[in-house]
Amino acid sequence: MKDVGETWASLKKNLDSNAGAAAAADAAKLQSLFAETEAFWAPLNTFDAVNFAKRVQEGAGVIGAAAKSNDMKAALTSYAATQKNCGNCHLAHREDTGKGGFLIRP
Amino acid sequence: MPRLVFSILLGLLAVIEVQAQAAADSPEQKLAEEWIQRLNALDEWYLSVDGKEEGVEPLVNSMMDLYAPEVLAEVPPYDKDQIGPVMLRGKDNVRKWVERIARSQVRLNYIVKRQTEGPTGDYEGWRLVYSAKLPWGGNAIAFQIIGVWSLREDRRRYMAPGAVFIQYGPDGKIRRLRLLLGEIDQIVPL
Repeated sequence: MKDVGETWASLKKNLDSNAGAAAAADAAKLQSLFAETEAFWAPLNTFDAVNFAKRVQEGAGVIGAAAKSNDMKAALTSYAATQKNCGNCHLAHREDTGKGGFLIRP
Repeated sequence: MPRLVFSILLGLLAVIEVQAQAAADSPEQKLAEEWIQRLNALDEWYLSVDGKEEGVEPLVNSMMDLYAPEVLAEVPPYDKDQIGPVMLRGKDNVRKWVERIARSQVRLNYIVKRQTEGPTGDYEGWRLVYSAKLPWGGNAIAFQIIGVWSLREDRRRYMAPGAVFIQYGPDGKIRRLRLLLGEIDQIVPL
């Protein structure tokens, strides 16, 4: 999960600068990272988190396809929609320790 | 004259406040709050980065410290096919029930219902705890609750009005527990 923030920021930067190939690479990396996230939650019987991870993978797929075809408008629209899953999952499962770290809530 | 009236009013308010404090600090009130706090704390554990459940045992132990070995507990059904309450005999069986709550429910928010004297005063005022001395020794308390919790697996949130009846032995451990939850409703956003 620690690579997600960096990749997500890179994706936005590449979409904003019309760098389609680089954005598609970021989207592919996000798909891979969220496959790991899904695998983390799956055995823990926490289906909402599993579904958030699945939706991000699907969203990243759409972003990547749009970026490859240089349709940045569509890619940015999907980016915004996909990003909502981050906030929803963090709200339910991430707790700020107040010391620069986070705890994972069941 | 106005000064005298003001002083009397002030005095009355002070007396009411002192009585309120006494009621809130009564041993029975503390027992009820202790039970509710330990129940609500059952979801305060975390997952490690490699997916291990950390901190469940101490929370379950904390709740189980309240119970006597021979406790008898009547709790709401927690099996989909179960109709009616479940009777748990002995601390080991109660522990399984407590552990199940800790591992399957999150965002636990059980509260003791408040009440004032007026006909509509059900949402503010005192957290009433009824108490009695038991003929065979020990004390009993009872209080109304509202139970709110979410299922860990899908985050569905539920609410139910209910009541708790607890009997303590002379050693201060819980010998009998009866938790009633009625009309369990799923909370859905409007």
